Amino acid sequence: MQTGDPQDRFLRLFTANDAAIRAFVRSLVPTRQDAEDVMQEIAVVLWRKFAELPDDDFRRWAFGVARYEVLAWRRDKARDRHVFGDDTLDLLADASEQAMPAHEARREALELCLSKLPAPQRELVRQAYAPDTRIDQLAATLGRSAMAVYKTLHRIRLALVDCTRLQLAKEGLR
Amino acid sequence: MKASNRLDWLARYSEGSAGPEEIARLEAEIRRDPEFRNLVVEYLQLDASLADAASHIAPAYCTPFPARPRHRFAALTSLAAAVALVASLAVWSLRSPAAASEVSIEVLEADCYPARALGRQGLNGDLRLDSGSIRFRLDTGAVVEAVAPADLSIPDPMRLKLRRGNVTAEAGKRAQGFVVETASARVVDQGNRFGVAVGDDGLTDVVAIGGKVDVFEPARASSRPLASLDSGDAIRVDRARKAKRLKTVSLRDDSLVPSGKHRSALVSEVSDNVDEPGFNRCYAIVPRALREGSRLHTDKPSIRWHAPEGSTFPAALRNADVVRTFFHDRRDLDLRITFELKKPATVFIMHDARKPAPAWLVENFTRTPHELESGPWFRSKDKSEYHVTYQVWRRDCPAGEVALGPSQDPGTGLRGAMYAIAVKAVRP
Repeated sequence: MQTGDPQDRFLRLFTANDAAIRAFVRSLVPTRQDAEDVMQEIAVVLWRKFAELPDDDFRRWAFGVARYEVLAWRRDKARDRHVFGDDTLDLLADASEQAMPAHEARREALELCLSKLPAPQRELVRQAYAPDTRIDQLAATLGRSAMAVYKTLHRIRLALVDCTRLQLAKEGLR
Repeated sequence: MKASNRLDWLARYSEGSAGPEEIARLEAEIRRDPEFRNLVVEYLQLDASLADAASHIAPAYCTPFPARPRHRFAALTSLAAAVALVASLAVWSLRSPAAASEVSIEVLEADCYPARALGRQGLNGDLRLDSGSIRFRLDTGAVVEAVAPADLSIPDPMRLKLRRGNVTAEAGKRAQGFVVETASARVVDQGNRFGVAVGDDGLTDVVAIGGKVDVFEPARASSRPLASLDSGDAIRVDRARKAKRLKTVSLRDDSLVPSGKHRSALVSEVSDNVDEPGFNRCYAIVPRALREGSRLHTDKPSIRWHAPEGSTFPAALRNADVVRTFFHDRRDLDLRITFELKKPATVFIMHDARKPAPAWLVENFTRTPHELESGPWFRSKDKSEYHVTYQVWRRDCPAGEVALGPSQDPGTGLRGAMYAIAVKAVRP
């Protein structure tokens, strides 16, 4: 039986699992902004239902809540926007959950891979992923088109996926 | 199905710009191919993780900071990043008096990315580089290259204050008299290209790369200079404002580079046995510089290497590290040049083919079939050019000190060209 202030306990568990839940949600929705929107709903629901946490596996429970919230978001958005069907989201959610045991290792590998990027690419990532950055404004600052910046970021992300895979393979985690 | 197609759809999907047809095709691929599905999951999870990981990346500021605040402090998830940013801005505000006048610069290159776009812009206050380099032109025509880490300001188009780091300035005719000031020296251009470096120890290094410079004490520009440097000269000015010969500098092409950065992986600490008052010639180590058109000597900027007519530059020599010697050493028959090899390497000596090779070269090195030419040493009235041919000698040396002798033995008559030095890693 758990003791202590439930709010403190919730904050501790949520903070510890926030990055994993975000990554899980991000793998199910089209954009980072969509993920942010869904995450806000999930945080509210998790806190409201925290007393119903069936066991100590907060992360697994949170993923279940997240799946449900993503499906609700999808049904809402599907009225005016083309989004993946429920079956596809289930497939992605399964794959995303399966990838979670290596999530922390992958994040550590990502830090290493970022440090290996050429300085200009690393700096572009830093700027593009800073809070409130708009790619069109960043592109204007750099004297490039937004399309060119998007393409460069896509290539960097693919390179980072390759790099993290290689790093995990070296560590026997893949 | 081309792999690039579905990756393009994924890119646009993750930006929110994919159309219905692309989303439908991407969805079909996700359902059809489990490996691609895993890639999509990893790609999107990485996109989420990057937002956090990117906040830990140290900014590659090539200040001035953008005038428009780009970060909302409350939204920074990393306390460390926020503290670093606040500290940087505090330094910025302390060093940027409101009355500072704006100087117009034209940024020609900025691989201290992404400081700002190339082109003309105002500079009001300090310019600080934490990584990379920037090259810009002032309205006077002076072109300045600064290599990080560097901290400088430009009070007016004819004056640059260097607090820390390295700058190389090319003043040109219009900006003759361009000044670089440091805490211990005032360097005044009298010719063309020069470098100034201020290390963490506060010492000022000055090297004349292609032209003359005068070095004064900071507050006494009208007095007699501490030193007047010609091409190939270098000095170090200490805190007591005493100038001393600097025997070795590191260059990248013709730009001064900071200690510990861009250094040769093979060669260091070039020295000689010359110790005369007012003698300030330096040796320049230039990594991977040997090629068609590259320089031989610190004191002859216009003399360049060429492959003999009808042949190509020997591959065995191409991209070797160069130790630029100074041409006027050809007269010193007691000369002893030493340098350190950090690892086993092949040392190449290019010797003037018009002269007999000195005994130390014949005894310790092996002549190769390669030849090179240098020039043009002069052009005749009919515009034909005079070039000198060199034999190429080599020796594989272990790590440690390498000692070389004079360019010719005593009593061999004709004074030819000074030899040149190149070093290349030993092939396994």
